[in-house]
Amino acid sequence: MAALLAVTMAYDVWRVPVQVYDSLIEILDAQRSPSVAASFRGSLDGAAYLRPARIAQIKAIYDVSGGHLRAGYRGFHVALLLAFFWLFARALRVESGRDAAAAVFALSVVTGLHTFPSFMREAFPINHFLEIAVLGLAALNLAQSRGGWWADAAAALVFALAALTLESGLLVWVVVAAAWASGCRGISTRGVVLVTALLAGYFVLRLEVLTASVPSLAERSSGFLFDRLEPDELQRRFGDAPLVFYAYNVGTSLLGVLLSEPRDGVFAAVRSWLDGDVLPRTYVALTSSALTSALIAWALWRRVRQGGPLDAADRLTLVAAAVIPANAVLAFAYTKDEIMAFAGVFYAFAAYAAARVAIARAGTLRRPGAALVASLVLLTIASLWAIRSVSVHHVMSRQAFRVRNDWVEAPAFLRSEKRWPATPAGVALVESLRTQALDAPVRNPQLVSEWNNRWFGD
Amino acid sequence: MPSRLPALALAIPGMVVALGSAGLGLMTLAGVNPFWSEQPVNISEAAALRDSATVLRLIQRGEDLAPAHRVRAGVLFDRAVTLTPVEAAVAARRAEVVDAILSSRRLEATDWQRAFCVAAAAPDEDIREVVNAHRPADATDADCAGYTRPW
Repeated sequence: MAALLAVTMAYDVWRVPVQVYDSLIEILDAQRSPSVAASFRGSLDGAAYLRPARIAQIKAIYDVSGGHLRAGYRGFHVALLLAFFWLFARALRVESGRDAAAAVFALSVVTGLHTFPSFMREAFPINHFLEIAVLGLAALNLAQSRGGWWADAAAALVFALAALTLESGLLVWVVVAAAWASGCRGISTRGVVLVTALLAGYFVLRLEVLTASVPSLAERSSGFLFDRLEPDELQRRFGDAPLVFYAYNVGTSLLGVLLSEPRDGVFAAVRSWLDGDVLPRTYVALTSSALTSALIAWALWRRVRQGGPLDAADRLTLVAAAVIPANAVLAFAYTKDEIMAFAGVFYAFAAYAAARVAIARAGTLRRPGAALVASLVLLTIASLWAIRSVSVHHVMSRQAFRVRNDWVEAPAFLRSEKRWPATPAGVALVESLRTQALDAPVRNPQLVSEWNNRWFGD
Repeated sequence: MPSRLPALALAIPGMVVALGSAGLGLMTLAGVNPFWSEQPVNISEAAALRDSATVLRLIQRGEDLAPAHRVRAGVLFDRAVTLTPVEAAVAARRAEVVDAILSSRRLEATDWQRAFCVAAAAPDEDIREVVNAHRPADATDADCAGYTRPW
């Protein structure tokens, strides 16, 4: 099942043109850069963010692609997605029919959660959110392995790459530490110490390199209650009490993963309800998430009450219990679904463990009526997640339409940013990507039946 | 022996999605993937459907801006209408599509005058601003006395 989902979703990714915003300028910069090393070093000069590996990777793919930029960047995105499914399915450690049924459910949860399209929709020109998730899953798989010096070394490498790509990469340390604490010894104590030392080194480097250690409220708009607030409004409301704003972001990020509401910090479903226009897809999302989170809480309570040694699924739950809040804390300055996508993956692991407990319990209920009701409840939850999972194709088709139309405005955008290329090679690059995007056959969402938009989407 | 019913209940919807994915893969090979099949549209329909990219592609392939094309029922109105690309974009109230059409190539004075009359017949100030911004240096003021919008 993982392979089927991976291939069809990889096809969706492949069909979306290389995007303009947060991507084209980075590609033009890669074209100008003399080498990967120069890109890495250059990104450290007066930087607002410590993400040198991100810039270096963009340059590396530019060089390797040999001018076939769409194939290079989209191909890398596809490879990341395939790796994601492989590592996710591998981490489940399926050994029985019960595991297999729970794994099918977990795959629906991970692909159906509202954070999952963040792994597919955009690329800058690499989807670093997906890359960090892949690295997190790689660390988890290493922790579950039989271990050895190579696993320790690989864990250190994985952490270093993740941390220097995006701030969310620090969550790889949480995965390593939580897996070790839960009893996984594939990464040894020595390995955990090594990765922790690298984490300390990261913070030292960050203080050395960065001009500002904490993003200010004036940097970008953010969701608050029912609206998005612009930076000046955020400054006016929370300038004197930023901790209130940070606490709101952490709390809503956590709630968003558990209940699919709020989204990007905005209580969108509540707002829709107040406006009297709640879409079916909102009901599907809220109901599936609420029931699944309740199932996880019940399974956790039951497992704690049972006691006994931890199995592989229990350990996944413990890692999820560490990663989800840690991810929410990392979103303190700015909450959005993309940032919480990493936590979304581990929410699916917790759902997997809960599903195993539910199958075992419901399968042994003595009264036939009770077993039937329990099965119907499980069928309902799984069906709602299946609907959400199918939505991904719809979301990607809409995204392709949006990106393709962005290319119409690309020259005007580059000129307004004073980034229109000064060299013929740069102009040729823009024109080539623009022609490819305009020629890409894409479905027009306006011609799709309205029920599609009401039931599917993000 | 534990019942298999709960496990099946939990797995069946996901299996259906997986089988659907396999079907989608076969449909892709046959070129009929429902999520990626492009429905053919003419340039006026593309403008009405906010599809600036298709408008631009068709213009680059030699489509003329002057002729009117049939816009099928349900796209703009309940009935089919015959509109030029600029008229379709104005009827859809899409300033950015009007901008894409007028930016697509060097405008003749007569092209601009036609667009000016269409914009003047519509209530949208932002569309009129876009059209005015594209006025060619040699274009005289348009005489729109004889123009009636076709919708």
